[in-house]
Amino acid sequence: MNARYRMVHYVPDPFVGARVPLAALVMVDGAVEVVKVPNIPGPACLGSRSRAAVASMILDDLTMVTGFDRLPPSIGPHALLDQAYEVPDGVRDVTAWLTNLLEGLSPAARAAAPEHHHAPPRSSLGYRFLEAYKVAQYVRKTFSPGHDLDGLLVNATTLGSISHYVPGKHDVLLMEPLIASRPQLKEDVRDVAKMFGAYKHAIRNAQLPRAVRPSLVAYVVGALTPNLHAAIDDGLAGFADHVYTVERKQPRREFLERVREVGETVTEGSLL
Amino acid sequence: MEELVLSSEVLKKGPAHNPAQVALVHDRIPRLLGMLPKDRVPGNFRTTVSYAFDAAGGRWVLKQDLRRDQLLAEALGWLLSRHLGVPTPDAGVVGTGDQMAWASRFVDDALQWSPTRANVVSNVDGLGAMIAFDALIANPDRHSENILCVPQESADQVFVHSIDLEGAWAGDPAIIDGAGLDVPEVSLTQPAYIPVDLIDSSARELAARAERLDNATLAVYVKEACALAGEPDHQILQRALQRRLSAATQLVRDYLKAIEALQT
Repeated sequence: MNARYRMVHYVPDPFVGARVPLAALVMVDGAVEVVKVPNIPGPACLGSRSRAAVASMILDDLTMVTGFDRLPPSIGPHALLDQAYEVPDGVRDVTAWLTNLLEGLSPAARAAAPEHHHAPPRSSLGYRFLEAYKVAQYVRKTFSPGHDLDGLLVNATTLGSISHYVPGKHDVLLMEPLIASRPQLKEDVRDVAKMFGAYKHAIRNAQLPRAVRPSLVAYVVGALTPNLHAAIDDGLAGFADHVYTVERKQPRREFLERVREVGETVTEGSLL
Repeated sequence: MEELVLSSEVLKKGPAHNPAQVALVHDRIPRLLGMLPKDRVPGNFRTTVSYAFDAAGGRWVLKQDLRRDQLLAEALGWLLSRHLGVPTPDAGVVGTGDQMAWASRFVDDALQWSPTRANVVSNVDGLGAMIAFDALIANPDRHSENILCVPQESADQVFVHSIDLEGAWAGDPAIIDGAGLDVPEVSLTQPAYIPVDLIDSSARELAARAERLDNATLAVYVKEACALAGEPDHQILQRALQRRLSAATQLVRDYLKAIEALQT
């Protein structure tokens, strides 16, 4: 096995020049992978919350690495690619070896490291998309069954809330965002499928006011590989009424149009 | 490294609010004092680009070895950006004559553009204004590296800034005049991938603002930028820009169409 690696250093302040290792590019027999630091440095370490956000976004952008010799341009001058080093002969698991190297923590520090990092939640990232495309005024956060919309879907109170909803005169869009860049995307798809499956059953059995039509909508923000795209379609088939991959122009247009179309009917009269 | 200083003429202009900054009475572009270049900014640039401190500890990105057209494009682009509401960092000039450098205030914690950022831009109006403005001053050099994206503390949004206008045709009166109402090629824009439906309305708003810019104000900006860069043909530039700004809606529409045609 022929393996080499290059460290990716974050330079929070180029006027000072200190470097914080965030990841390594590793090339094993010609194939390039990214190994990320197990514990992302937080605001106290880097100097501010915005710097911690930069570190987190750099790690996200590393999913776009296409070669061993350059970083994605979106990362910018705050990240530097160090020179290439050989992985020692005899290392069987290069990823584990580099993870250890990146961790660089004493056992005591490792024990004290936080188990969870506070990445923005799925619902928040989804809402940012709705804001950016100027349809957020039609969207309300957190649909609580049996509480919102005059107690709509009171038979679903035990199912938990849905991230966003668009109330209309007759239609209600119950919406869950999926964020392509989240490492736990597959788990997210599974969670949404379960949630929509349960809601679907509740909607079928609910005593809905006449002409009220709830529908279950998933919208996927961010670029997907064909495999992930297929996995989402398969995972939500039979559970979601609509799945919009909003990174693509046509589905995005259809989704935004649907939100506006439903949202604008509210002025024509309340739902219930 | 060598400290860049200003001419005695500028220094005579009296006290400044900021010890590192002197604004001339009728000028809008600040003259910066005592700029000390530091390390080079990593990347491939057409000019010499360094991090720099000013005397008050302010942090800047300094572009040296600019040609006249590049300096004029930066200066005029900055003045018009500020007037029209294109988000762009503070800026100023350092030095005099052929040694004049363009300084842009360092933007802390900035990443660069990628398609994934489109979904989390907090100032979509600024992004649309930036792209529309490129059409007006015919800036063919817009790509991921000159759209700075500053993550907000919530880490789920970025605020965008426009930088690097040195390549705009507006830096050369003969070229921008000869371009008539042409818009630049958008091939460089494509890798940056900005969805047109995201920016369409804000780009058109910028165009409407540009059409309302009166000729007298435009003339002030053109004269100042030309004087700074040592460009004698300010009347040609004024004429060319007047023509483009008065047709801003059409130019922006053409430019957005050209971008959209490249997107799937």
